[in-house]
Amino acid sequence: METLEIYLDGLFARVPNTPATQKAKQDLLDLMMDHYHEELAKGQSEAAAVGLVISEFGDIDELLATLEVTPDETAPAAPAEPVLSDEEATAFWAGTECFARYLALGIALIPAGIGVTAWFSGTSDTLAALSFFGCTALGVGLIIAASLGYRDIVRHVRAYATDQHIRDLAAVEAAAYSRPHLIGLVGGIMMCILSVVPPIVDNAGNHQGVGPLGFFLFVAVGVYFIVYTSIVAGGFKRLLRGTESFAADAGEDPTTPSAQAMARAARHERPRHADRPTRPERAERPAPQTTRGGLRAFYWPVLTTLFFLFGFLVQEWRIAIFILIVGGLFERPLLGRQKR
Amino acid sequence: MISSDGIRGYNDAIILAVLAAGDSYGYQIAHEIRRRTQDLYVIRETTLYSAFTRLTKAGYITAYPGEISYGRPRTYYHLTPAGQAYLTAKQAEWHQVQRVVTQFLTEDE
Repeated sequence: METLEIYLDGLFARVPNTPATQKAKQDLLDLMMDHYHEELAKGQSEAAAVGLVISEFGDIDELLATLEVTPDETAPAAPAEPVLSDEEATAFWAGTECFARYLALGIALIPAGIGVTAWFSGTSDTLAALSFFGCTALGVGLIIAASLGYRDIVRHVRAYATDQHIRDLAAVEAAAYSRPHLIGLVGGIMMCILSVVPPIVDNAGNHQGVGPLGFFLFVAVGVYFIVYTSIVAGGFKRLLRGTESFAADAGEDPTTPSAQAMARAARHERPRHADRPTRPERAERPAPQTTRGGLRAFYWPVLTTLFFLFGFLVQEWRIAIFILIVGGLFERPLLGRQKR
Repeated sequence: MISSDGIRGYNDAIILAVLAAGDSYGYQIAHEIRRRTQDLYVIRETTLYSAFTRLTKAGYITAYPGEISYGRPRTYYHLTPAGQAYLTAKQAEWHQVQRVVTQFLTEDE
């Protein structure tokens, strides 16, 4: 049960990593897992089971005292930042859901647009061109708008620490969403696999033109579900892990979480205690990475759009492929120049 | 339901009493405590694990790896002769405590 594991990671975030604490963590996870499975067997839902396990878990300080370990003093003990409230956490999850919906729709519109373009390409080139540009423009627009909007929401949350109460709440929400997430992922993957069915039907029967349209629409629906559910689940996990542990892990002033910690939070990675970079190293990194990341977000969508433009509309596939090859060759020098 | 605080001094003895019936592991011990008290006392996970740590350090129980669960060996606990002696002493102490407290706190008095 990943939720309980992340929850326990959060509790042990400031605890020195010794064989004794590692063993304690493992045994506690076993205890929690046994408890969780018993609650499930009693007919509780996943969310209710996680809620009960957490509510009956007890006080971690009691255990740390017995293990004779004290939390890492170099890390910020109590969160110095304001603590995220229930309302703010709920607003963050609502914002994440909204971002997930628009981003997934934006991404899905691109293959869907190609499908519709293929459908019209046999009858009307004008309609084909309109569909292609319409869907691509709308899709890219949604992706950019959603990403910019979500950046503000994430920035707001990063200014706060998450206390135990919020982590408990996030654990219950994450558990409640684990089944929809799984259904979304499996359903999305199934849709991508089943996308080969329309071309097969197209070849076998008298359904001319259905193949490419069906193929891209299936892929679009599949991609929508995979992206949407993964982002929503990521929102719960972000608060479950807590912002405290990221700041603590990096040994950074809690009011200015390091770019590395931020990047890790964005990637939903677990905190790593080894290989801590020194403060000067971290100070040099953030700005170039952000600039490069911002450019990269636009570089390939633009190239891909040009590729399809020359391919489908101008019918010059050689030029289209040439654009991609040249784009690939120039990616590093171009981004490198921006980096400096 | 009884709180951990109310019973704190006897958590260790209660765990030893469960282990006196045979080797066991964390959740099974917690489950047994709940079963024997008809859900009156639910021991918290951190309280339970703190007690295991304390009792192991004191030499009253030993931990050993048992069957594989969740991809790793489950930690089992075994009552040592020292643990048995401690349990016997605690049982005698409890009888005295019970007599003293009853003198003052029983409603009939």
